[in-house]
Amino acid sequence: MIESPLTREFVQTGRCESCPIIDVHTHYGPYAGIYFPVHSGEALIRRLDRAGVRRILCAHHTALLDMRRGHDEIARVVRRWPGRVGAYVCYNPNYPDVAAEELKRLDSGDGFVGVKCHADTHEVRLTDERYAPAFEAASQRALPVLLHTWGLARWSGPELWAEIAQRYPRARFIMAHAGFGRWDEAVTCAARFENVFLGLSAAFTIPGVIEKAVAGCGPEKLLFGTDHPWFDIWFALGCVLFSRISDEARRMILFRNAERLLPAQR
Amino acid sequence: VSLATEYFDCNAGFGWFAAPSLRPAPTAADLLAEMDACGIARALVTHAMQRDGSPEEGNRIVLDEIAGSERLEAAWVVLPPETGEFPPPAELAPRMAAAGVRALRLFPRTHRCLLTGEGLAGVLDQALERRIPLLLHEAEWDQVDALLQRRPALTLVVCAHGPKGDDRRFRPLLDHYQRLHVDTSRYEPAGGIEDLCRAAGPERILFGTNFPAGPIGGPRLMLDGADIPESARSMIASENLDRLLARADLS
Repeated sequence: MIESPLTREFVQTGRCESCPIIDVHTHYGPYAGIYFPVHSGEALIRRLDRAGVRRILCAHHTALLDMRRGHDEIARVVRRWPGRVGAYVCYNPNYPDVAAEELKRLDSGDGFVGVKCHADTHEVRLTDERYAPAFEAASQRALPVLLHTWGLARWSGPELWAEIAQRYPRARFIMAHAGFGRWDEAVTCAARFENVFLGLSAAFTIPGVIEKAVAGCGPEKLLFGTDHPWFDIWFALGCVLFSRISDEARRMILFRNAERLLPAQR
Repeated sequence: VSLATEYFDCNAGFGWFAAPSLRPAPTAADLLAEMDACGIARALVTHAMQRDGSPEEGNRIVLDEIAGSERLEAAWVVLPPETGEFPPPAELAPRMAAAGVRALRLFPRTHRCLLTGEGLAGVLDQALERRIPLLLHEAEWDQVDALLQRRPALTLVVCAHGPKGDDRRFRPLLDHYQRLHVDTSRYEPAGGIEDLCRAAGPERILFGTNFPAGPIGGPRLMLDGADIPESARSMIASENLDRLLARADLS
């Protein structure tokens, strides 16, 4: 097995006491096209405990569709497990009035830590002006913005990333899925812009991507995200723990980078 | 979790596949190095030539490339014998026995084969009669259903299904066809292994990685971390595949 005390400890015990985990990309609740055995409640928290996940940042599946309902539900979850679950405001630019109202939750004290934009679900390109209120709100508050980015997609592809990174320099953009499939452009973008980070969800399924990203933009620009419940926590962890990177890089990816990125008061 | 768990990957490959890879494993030695890094003991392998080149030549090449290895075992990739690229049904078992091959694979989309009706009928009848495990890739679940409607006792392992979770499609089939199995290589939903173990039993799940298209470490740690009895983990990790291969009657 690879020479990694961290990996060995994880394999032997299922967790690592010296390396807590922050998962910056999770979802909550069931969804239309798939059966999720575990997606919410105590069952979710038990899995986080077993794997040593200290904190998750979570977008409720419902909020991708019905913002108000989904945010109300995730706010209850945050209240139930304060400090353990942070919530994203899901911003649907097709309904600007509702979305603008929902952005106020960032200042509500209800544990909303950033904004989630899913351009492929909402079919609005990331550079569209309709996203401006969300990106400006995040920029003003120096909050993370979790962007679904998929390399071959019309709505979230690589030609859009640099533009928004430049336009909103204080927002901290997490490119979920690391621009899946367009690895060179994603790594270049993260290396070029201080406010761009690569989230590893789904990207970790491709052997060699983690190593490429570490070499190309540095481990300090990578964030651990599972897309839970779409991916099992241990599956995602296994991809990081068995990648050919240093334990120091693993610790940065799994915990330190996210700890530094997240606003302490939220 | 125990470091003593032995992993036998039912779905790993090496050679130059058509899809570009950031970490290719051109040779058997390269694959073994990847397996070593992740603590995988053995693998039932596909050579890239079997899938993306000529399956007929690939079925010979894979045996040459793994000759002498105690950790790698080959499965032959099936084509319809009617084109002369695959042994006639009557010759299949003795030729497999002579070559030391105990399993068959199917890539029906890449190789443009019919799975239903008379397509592959002779080969499938042999697989059924002789309990030769058939590892099926690239298939839609309605094709699987149609295949098993005609031969419900076929020993079938559906590999790299999904991605993520296709449970709504395959769980009814697992209930109905007792010799249907699934691998873990693209079965990634949270808690999926635990839940599927409870629903269908650990004997229906085989450890697979889909390497080099997929990672080895992810499926490995997912099984390590699954909250299931050690006996179930061992079955999934290696014992089920060993059992299926041992049942093949090539006499």
